[in-house]
Amino acid sequence: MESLYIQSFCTLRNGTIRLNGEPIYGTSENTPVDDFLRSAYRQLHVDYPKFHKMDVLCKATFLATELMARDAGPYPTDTALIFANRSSSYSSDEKHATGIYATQNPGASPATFVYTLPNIAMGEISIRHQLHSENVFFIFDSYLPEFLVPYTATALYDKQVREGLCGWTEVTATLCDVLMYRVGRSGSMAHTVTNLKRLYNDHE
Amino acid sequence: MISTTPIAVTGMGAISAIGNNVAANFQSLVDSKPGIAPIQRLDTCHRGRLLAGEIPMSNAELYDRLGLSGETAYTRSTLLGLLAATEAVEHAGGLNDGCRIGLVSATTVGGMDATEQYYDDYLISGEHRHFIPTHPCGYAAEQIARHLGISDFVTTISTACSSAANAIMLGARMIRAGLLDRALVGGTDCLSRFTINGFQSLMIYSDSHCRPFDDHRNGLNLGEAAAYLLLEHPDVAGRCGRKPLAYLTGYGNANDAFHQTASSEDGEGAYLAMLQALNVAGLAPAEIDYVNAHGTATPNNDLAEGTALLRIFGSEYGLPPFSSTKAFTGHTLAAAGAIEAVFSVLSLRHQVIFPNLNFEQPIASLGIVPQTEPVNKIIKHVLSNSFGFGGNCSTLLFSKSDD
Amino acid sequence: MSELTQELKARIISQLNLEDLTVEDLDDNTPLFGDGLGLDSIDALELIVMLDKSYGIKLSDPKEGRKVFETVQTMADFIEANRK
Repeated sequence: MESLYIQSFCTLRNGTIRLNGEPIYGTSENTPVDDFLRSAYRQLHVDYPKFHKMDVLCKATFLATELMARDAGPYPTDTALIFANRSSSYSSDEKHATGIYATQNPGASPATFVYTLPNIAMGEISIRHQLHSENVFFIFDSYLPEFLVPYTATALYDKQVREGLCGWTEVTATLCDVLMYRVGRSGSMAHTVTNLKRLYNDHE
Repeated sequence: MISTTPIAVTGMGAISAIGNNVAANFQSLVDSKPGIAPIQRLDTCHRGRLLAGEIPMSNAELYDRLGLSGETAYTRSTLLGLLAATEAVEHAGGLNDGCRIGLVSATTVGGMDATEQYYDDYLISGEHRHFIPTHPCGYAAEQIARHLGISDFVTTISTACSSAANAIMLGARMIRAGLLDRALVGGTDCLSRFTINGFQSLMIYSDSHCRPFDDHRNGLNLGEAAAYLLLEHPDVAGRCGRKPLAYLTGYGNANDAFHQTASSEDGEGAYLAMLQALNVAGLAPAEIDYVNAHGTATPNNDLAEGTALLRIFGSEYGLPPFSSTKAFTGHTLAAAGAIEAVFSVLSLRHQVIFPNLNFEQPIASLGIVPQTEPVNKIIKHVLSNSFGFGGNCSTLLFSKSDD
Repeated sequence: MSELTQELKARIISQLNLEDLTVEDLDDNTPLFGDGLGLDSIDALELIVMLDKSYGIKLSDPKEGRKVFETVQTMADFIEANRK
C-alpha cells in the first residue's frame, strides 16, 4: 500500500482554533461552546447562512472542514469521511429529549430532531463541499488512532480514493474536543498513529 | 485492485415484529403475515393507536429467555441484540476456536429506551441507577461482546438507517484486509418515545399501514428489531467445515449530498451506492435477480429510490423483481440493514422473492411495480438497500452459495 | 395587521435561526421558499409547529403549508382567518 500523509489539520479546543498548529482564533476557555463556534464563524468570515441551523457538533466539524479547504484547497468529490467520537450527537439528543419529555407543553422540534444522529455532521459537510463519497461514523470510548489509521488506509486504498477527511469529533454543549485532518497521497507528515497521537495530545 | 474475495455468511440471527428467530421471520414473509399493529407495550401516549412493528415480548420475558440476572442492567436494544447475536453464533457452530473475531454492531437508539423510562427516577431513588451507564450508543456492543466472549475487536457504527449495512461492510473489509478471520455484524434498535416523537415531528409517520412504492403512500411505520450475521473468510469457513449460507460479494456507500433528511430527486446517493456494490462484485445490473429495497413508504424516499433503480437498471423493463419488506417489520432504523440482509440471504437459500405488501398503484411519475406476492424464482444475486439521514446511502450485494 | 406581520417576522427569524437577518430585512411579500429566502422542508415543518404553539392552528398536511407559507403576508392572512 502507498504511503499516506497528513496534509492539513485543525483543532478546536479550549476556546481556540488552530490550523496546522497555529492559533487562528481564540476566546476565553470558559466561553460556552455554541458562543465560541458562532463568534469563530463571524470572525473568520465564513459565509454559509445554514450554519446557524446546525447543532454544535455540526458547527465545529463544519468550521474545521472549511478552514482546511481554505488552507489546502477544495476537496475531491470522492473524499472519504471517517469520523469518530464518544458522545454521538448528545447535545441534540438532550435538546430533543427535554422537549418531548417536558411535563408542561411537551413537543418535538423537527429542526432539532434532524440533528439527533452523529452522521448528520458528515451530511452537512457533503452538502457544502458536494462530496458524494463514503461516510462512516464510529463510536469509541476515546480517540483511537490505532483503529482509525489502518481503517483510513484501507478505505483509501480499497476504492482508489485520493483523500480522506478524518477526525475525532467530540462535541457537546460543554466540551469541544475536535481534531480533524486531511489525509492524502503526498505531503511531509506521515499518516501514522504516532504522529496523530502527537497532534491530539499537543495542547499548546 | 485488492482481492475481491467473496465473504462467507455462516450464521444468522434475527428478532422482529414478524418472528423471534430467523425461521419464524421467514415463515411470516412467505405467508404474507405482517407484524404492524397498534402499539401495545411501549409506555407512550400513542399506545393503542399508532401503528408500529413491535416485538410482543416484554423486557422481563427477554431477560428470562436469555437466562440473565435481573440485577444487571440491559436495555431493550441490548436484550434484542443478545438474542439475535446468540442465534447467529449458535447457527454457525460457535466462535471459540482460536480465530480472530470482531463484533461490529449498529444502533441509533442506544440506551435511550431505559433513559426515558428511568431518568426522572434517578434523582429520587437508587432503584434503577444501575441503568445509567447503559445510555451511550457503544454500551450494547460491549455487553454483547462480553456475553459471547468476543474481545479481539469491538465497535459501534451509528449512521442512521444505514448503520447495520455499514457494520456489515466494515466486517467484510476487515476480513479482506486480514485484520479478522470472523466478524459478527449487524444492529439493534428498539422502539422509543424519542424516535416516535421525532419522526412524527417530521410528518413522515403514517397513521395507517405503510404502503411502500404506492402512489398514495404517506409515510412510514417504525419497528424494532435486531439481526446479526456471522461473516467469515471462505478459507476459514472451509477449514472449519462450515457451509456458507450465502456470500457477501459486493457493497457500496456514498453520500447523497443534498439535504439532512430528504433524498435528492434523482436519487444520486442511492444510485452511487448501488453502482459501487455492483462494481465491487464485478457484476452487471442485468445479473441481479432481486432487490430488497429500502422502501420506507415516505413520499420522498420511494420516489428517489425508484428513480435511482431506473437509472441503474436502465428502464422498467430492465428492473428485476423488487420489494420493500418494511410493511412487514416496520422501519427498524439501525437494525434495518441487518434484518434485510437476513431476508436477502433467506431469499437466496429458498429461491423466493418476498412480497411488497399494501401496494395498489404505481408512483405516477415512475410507473414501477414491485413484487406483490411471494414467488419462487431462480435467484443468484440480491441487492439490499439501506439509506439513512445525513445522505448516508449503503447497498449490500449477496450471492448464492452452491453448498 | 402590520403588528402581526412584525411579530411573525421576529418569530420566523428566531424559530428558524436566520441569524443574518433582521425584521427590517424581511419584506412582507418576499417568497419564503424557493428563490426568495430559500427556506427548506424542515423550516416548513418548524413553521407548522409555530402555527400550532403560538396561534393554535393545526396543519396536518405539509402540502397545505406551501400555500400558507408563501410569504409573511400570506401567513398573516391565514392566521387572521383561522386563529383561535
